[in-house]
Amino acid sequence: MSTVVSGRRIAEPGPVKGRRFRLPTRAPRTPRPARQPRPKVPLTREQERLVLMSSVLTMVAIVCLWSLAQMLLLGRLSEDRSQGLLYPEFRHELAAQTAPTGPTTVDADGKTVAVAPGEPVAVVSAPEIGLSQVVVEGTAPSDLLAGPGHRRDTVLPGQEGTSLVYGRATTYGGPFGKIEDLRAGDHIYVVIGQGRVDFTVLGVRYDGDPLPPAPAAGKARLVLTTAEQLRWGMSPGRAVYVDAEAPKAYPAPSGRPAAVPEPELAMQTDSGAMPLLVLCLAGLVAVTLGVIAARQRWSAALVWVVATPIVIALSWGTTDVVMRLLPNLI
Amino acid sequence: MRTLIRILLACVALAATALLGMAPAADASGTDAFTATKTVTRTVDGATTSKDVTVSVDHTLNLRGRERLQISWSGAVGTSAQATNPYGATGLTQEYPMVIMECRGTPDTVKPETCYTSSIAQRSAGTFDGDSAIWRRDPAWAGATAPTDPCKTPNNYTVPFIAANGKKFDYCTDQDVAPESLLPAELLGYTSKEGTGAASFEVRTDVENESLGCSHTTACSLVVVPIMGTSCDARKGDDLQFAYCSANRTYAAGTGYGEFEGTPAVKGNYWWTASQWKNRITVPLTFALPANTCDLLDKRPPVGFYGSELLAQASLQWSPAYCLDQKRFKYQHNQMGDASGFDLMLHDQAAGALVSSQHDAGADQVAYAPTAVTGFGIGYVIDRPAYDENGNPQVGGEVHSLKLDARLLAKLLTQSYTGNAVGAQHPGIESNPVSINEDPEFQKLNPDAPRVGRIEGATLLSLSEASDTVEQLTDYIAHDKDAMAFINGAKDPSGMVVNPSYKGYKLPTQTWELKDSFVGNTDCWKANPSPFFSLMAAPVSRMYTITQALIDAQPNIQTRCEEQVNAATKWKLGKIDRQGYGNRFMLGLVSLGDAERYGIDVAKLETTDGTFVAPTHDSESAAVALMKQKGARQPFTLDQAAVKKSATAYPGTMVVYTAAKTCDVKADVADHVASFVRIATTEGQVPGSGNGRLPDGFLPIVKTGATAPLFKAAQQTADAVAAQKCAVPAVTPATGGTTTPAAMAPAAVTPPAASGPDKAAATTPTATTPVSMGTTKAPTAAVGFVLLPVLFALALAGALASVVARVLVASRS
Repeated sequence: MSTVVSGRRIAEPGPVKGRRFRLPTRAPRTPRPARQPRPKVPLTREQERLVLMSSVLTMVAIVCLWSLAQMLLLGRLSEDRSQGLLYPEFRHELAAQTAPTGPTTVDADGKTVAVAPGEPVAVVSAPEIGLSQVVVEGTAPSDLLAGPGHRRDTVLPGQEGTSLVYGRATTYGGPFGKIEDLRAGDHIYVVIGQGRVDFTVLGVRYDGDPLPPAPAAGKARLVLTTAEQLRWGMSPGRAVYVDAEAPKAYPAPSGRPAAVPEPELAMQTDSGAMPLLVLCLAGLVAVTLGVIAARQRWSAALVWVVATPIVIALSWGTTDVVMRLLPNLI
Repeated sequence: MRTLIRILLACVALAATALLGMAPAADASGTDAFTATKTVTRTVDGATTSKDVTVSVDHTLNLRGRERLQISWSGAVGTSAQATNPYGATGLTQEYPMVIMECRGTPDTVKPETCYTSSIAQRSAGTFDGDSAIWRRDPAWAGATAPTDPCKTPNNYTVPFIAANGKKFDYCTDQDVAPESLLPAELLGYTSKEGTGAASFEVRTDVENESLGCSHTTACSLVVVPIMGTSCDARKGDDLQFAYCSANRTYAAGTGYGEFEGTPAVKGNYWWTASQWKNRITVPLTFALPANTCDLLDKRPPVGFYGSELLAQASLQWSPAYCLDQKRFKYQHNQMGDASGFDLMLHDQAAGALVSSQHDAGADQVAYAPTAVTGFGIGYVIDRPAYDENGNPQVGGEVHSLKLDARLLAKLLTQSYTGNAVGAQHPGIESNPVSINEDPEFQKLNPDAPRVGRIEGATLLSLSEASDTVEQLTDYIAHDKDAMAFINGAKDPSGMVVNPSYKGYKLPTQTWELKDSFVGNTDCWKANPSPFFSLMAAPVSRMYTITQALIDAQPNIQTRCEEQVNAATKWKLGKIDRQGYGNRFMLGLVSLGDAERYGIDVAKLETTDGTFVAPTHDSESAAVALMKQKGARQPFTLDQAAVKKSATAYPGTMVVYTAAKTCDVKADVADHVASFVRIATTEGQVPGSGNGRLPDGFLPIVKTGATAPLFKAAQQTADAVAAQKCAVPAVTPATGGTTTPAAMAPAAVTPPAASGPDKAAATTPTATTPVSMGTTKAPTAAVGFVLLPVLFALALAGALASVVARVLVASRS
């Protein structure tokens, strides 16, 4: 969002363009302080329009840049941090033998509850491509911000049957960005609550490739899924699969949902994030207004110091919400 | 000092040229050729006349069936009463001919009895009375040494023929001759007034002529007898007899092409008399291993390479170098259309495909290794007309230089010549020439060629199958403005128009379709309603068939429509007759390898206006230099537009590639393919006629010069095929609609060691039959595709535009 403080604009990117772009229109109207020694030449109508346009475009650029930065750089930090928290948590659960072994788990009170989305359920690693990630439960776009997600209507990786694990290819650390490089015969190691399973990659499967036969009884199939990549972070926006199989498998407890909501399917978006987005944007507007008001009263430095972290935090949160509106595998 | 440096430099340059000269190309024909000079004599009543005759043969080693030798000679007596057709018995009437035969035996063991002739007349002499039996006057063959006539006919002598299996044929009656009924190969060649002459001679192996029986184990020779006339001794016999045997020519040297009958003593009939036989020049010939050697001697399963016929002659020489070496594999070249061979390779039915252009590999990773540089040519056999335009006889012989441009080829291929009166009824082309002979464009380029219209000149015998050769030929036409204007409907300068069925025909094309459905308007064609022009074009499926048609001068035109007496079907369609010697005219699409092997003349093709380029090593090198590679391990393409601008490049130059998959091929097959490419591009590029050598008609691929990129590309491909490293394709087809699952499967699912059919089983060992699970349908999200680039572009555009706007504001205040 943008604020106008004594003729200077502080731009804070937010995800939705329309709202923010209108704000700078007030810029020319703001009274200029005496610090501008040049005699004021009243701007012509045309110049005003140009200034307005320039401001709008600056906003557009800043919003886009922020989004890019968040997806590619800040998102990586965020994902790294999530993993950094998830790993010890899962390690602790493994040690305590409380790691989920199925769709449900027993909570502290001894009640059987469904494994909540976002809980760590497995660690997947593939040394050939330097992959080592904690897999969380759930594959909705928001779940995948923290790392690869396990699709909830499939068995856990390493259990008998086919398990689907989704991961982002480019954004938020792109944990699955390199799985296309896996070759038949490469190994994928998975650790779940029941133990460790050694998968052997069958191959990379693109759109139109024949589906592999269903896994035989007693075997575990792992299908890593992400978005296909071209070069320079480009993607055809199409899912790509890596099939892997393990000869031994742990038994899979029952209780899996028969289906998962649409946002948890590959390449889907979560339109349920809309209300939250409205809230976030409203928050940004509120902050903007607050900054304008504060600027009347306090010095610029003070307002800067106070407002910047708030704005950045809000923007960060807003972009995270926006990510839920984008396909989950990119 | 400066002089010294110059001398040194000159020495270095000389040494360099010498080294270059020692490159494989130099020893191409050296040891293969034969030249000998002999003093031939005739002694009449003690007076000896002699001539020093020099005979040269272009190649003599490792010959194959129907291969043609180019023989030339000098120093001989000029021929008179020249016959239109010097082959077989029809050439016997000539005076002082050069008798050329193929005989079994080495130069030491060859004798008249082992020389094959196709008719009795060539080995027998019968006279009405003893006076004219001149062989009896031959001092070298008189008295006790003269054999008796096996036929026991008075005043007759016949040379019997001893077949390879020892059976003796007396040649006394038609029942007692060798069973082969072949077109004569032996000939009585003409010598010019100056004493020189040339002929091409078709050698026969035991496959074509079992009685003669020449093979790699049975030695044979080419016997050349310069006819000087039978020697004769005045003291034997009376004056009349002496007059017969001492006679000289009746006609002047160089005359002929009429109803002449020469003087017996100097005709070709008496080549076998002792005095003439001793004048012979014997050229030892060696024969290559037969084509089925590998099948007979090597019981290992063959490693099949499928595709281009252009490589046929090279494969013939290469394959024994593989199958006779136990360390190598059994190389087998199965000739078929390029696309068909490529499909077999994709489906693991063939180790490698031999193709000349890029083919659609679907999802498979296919690499191309340049294996040979050769090409196609427009082969022809054309006799100079025996009579000039005023009806006067003229010196005949074959036409050995023909120029064609793209428009003439377009006219032939589009069936725009009418052929005969039936074809002239075709609506739209009624006033077109009957054949290329009547076309002023052709006459201007080839003043030597016959100018009377004939159906054989209305068509170019071409291929019916899809072929890279047809594609390149039509690509050549497609890059010629005049030719395309003609096809698109413009009249040529003489007013000729394209056959409406081909108007606007799209070129280039892999397959030349037969589009004309015109049926003749005569009784015969009404009774046999078939498309006239398609029967006239009558394309065939293999280039070798075209080659044979040219060797035999037997066009494949099927438009002979005859009335049959006493038959249920009154009118019958059929093939037109074989063409008589002296009256031949035929054009056909041949491979350069075949053309060289069988001695077929190949036309020069127009490149820049007025420049006509023949296929030679130089012109092929120039074309190779114009080729551009499409990408690593991909084929080179020859841009015909560049050829049209070059005055030196031959447009028919083609590279034959070995195409093989670089992913998911069994290790042993991959090794075979890689070693084939490596061997073929090294020892297989040494010119020569021996096993494993590169035959004529091919440009050697070497490490330096124009072919260096081809050599390098071949080695890269060999390495890639050997490595079998599957790379993930950068982009896969959107929905897999055109690609079959079988073709897609190997790239993605199977480990490299698993082979074709059991790939599904490899993943589920318990399943006995692979079950098709359908294909992957990957969900897509367009946002995913555009998101990042659009964001980036917007950011960039916004920032730029905003700065521009600011600058504008500043500049206007």
